[in-house]
Amino acid sequence: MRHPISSLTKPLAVTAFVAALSVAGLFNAQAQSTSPTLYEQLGGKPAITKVVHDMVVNVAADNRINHFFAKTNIPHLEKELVNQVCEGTGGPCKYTGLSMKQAHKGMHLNTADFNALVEDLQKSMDSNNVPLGLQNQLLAILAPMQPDVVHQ
Amino acid sequence: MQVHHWKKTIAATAIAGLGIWGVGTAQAQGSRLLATSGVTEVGGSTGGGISPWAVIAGYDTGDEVGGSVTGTYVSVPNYGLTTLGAAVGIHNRFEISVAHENLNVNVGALSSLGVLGNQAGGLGLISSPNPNINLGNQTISMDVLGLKARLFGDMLYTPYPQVSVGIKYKKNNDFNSNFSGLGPIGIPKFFGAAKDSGTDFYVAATKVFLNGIFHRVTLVNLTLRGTKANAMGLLGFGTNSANGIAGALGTKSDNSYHAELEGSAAVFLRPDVAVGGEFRQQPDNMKYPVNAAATAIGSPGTMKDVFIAYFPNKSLSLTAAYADLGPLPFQASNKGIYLSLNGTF
Repeated sequence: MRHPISSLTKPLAVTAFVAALSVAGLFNAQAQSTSPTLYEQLGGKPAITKVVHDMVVNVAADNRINHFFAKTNIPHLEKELVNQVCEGTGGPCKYTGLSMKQAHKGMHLNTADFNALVEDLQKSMDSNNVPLGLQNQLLAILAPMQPDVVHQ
Repeated sequence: MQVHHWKKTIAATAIAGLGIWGVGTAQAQGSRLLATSGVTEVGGSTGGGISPWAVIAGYDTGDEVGGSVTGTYVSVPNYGLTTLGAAVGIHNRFEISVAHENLNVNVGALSSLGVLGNQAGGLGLISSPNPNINLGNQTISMDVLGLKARLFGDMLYTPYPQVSVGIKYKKNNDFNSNFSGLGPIGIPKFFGAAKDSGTDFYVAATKVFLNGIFHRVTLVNLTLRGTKANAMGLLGFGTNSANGIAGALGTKSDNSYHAELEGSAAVFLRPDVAVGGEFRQQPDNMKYPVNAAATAIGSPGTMKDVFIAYFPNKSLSLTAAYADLGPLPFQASNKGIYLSLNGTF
């Protein structure tokens, strides 16, 4: 026979937990359907260009990963990144560069390198006063690219 | 006193953990993002406060080694739990953890415990009219050795969760410690525990939603555990109707594994501050009195907590929680403060 307290609290705890997750899902589904695009919220192309530029400046100063960009055409990289972020956030742009797999082929990047880039992006968004909610939405769009970037 | 070899091993590992932490924090940071180290659960594994997660200790990725050292204090009226632990993460793939837990039991040398005896008007749980039961300032200690392996997934980057499996070997050191006039019967055995040691098996799945609740980074973990542990093992493992007061309370012998579910959810209000809650089910085959007069009977129940964790940098985190440990001997409600300090690298 189960003790009354434990037989009551087990299902309650599980139910509350599942309910909390469901509410979380509903909230974001509603928020996303009624909001302007992330591109607009971020401030459009000028703001995205500034964030990307400052990120690249951070990368150039980041000894963990700057050696990967020693032979990179930086203005071209910035243009491609801006188009990629612009398109990914719902803006009127078209990324025409290589696929993520192709672009990173032979670079043998690992998760540590990818995380360093994320930190440089976060630093840029912080210094440009991008609100945390928008930062997280942008990171959520970029993060799924990780498996195509590392170990290529 | 006989000192077991594995105790020495645990002590050595803890000291090595501290040493590695010193070197690790002094020389280089691991490459994972802030707070992706998680914190340390009371049994020493990387996780939330009371449940192990699929997360591997420290901030290690690929070819790095990371780890953590932790001290945790849980205080509820008449009970206090202290844990010291260390964990090493290898290549974000394997985790080895050790923990030493001390449960202080101070439900008092209750005069009312005399009712357990077979005197007139007594409950007859013990075949002595005036059993010398002393549950004032007693200590139950336990050592835990944990191994965890990440099977697949990256909680941040793969669309599916990070999934790990783990085992925890636990040894209760006070199963036979004489705390009463009853001879070599420790507190766990007195309440009907069958064994002084046990091994838990678990599978854990962790997923981080970067754009989660309120557009905040949100972590969700579910852990399914197979265990025989009573009150995490602090009250021993399994039950034996022939031990202590088990027969008198109608506790059945049960040496089988119980499948128990655990869950954690955390929302990062800021990149360095998380708030959340957890629950952890427990086997409830052990029975004990849950009031001072020993007239109500209960069992270990679901543990819960709500917490706030602060990660000022990758070397340190501080967790504060309000925890509910579920029914414990002579006390049905056990709610109080949980504080944990983690050094990480």
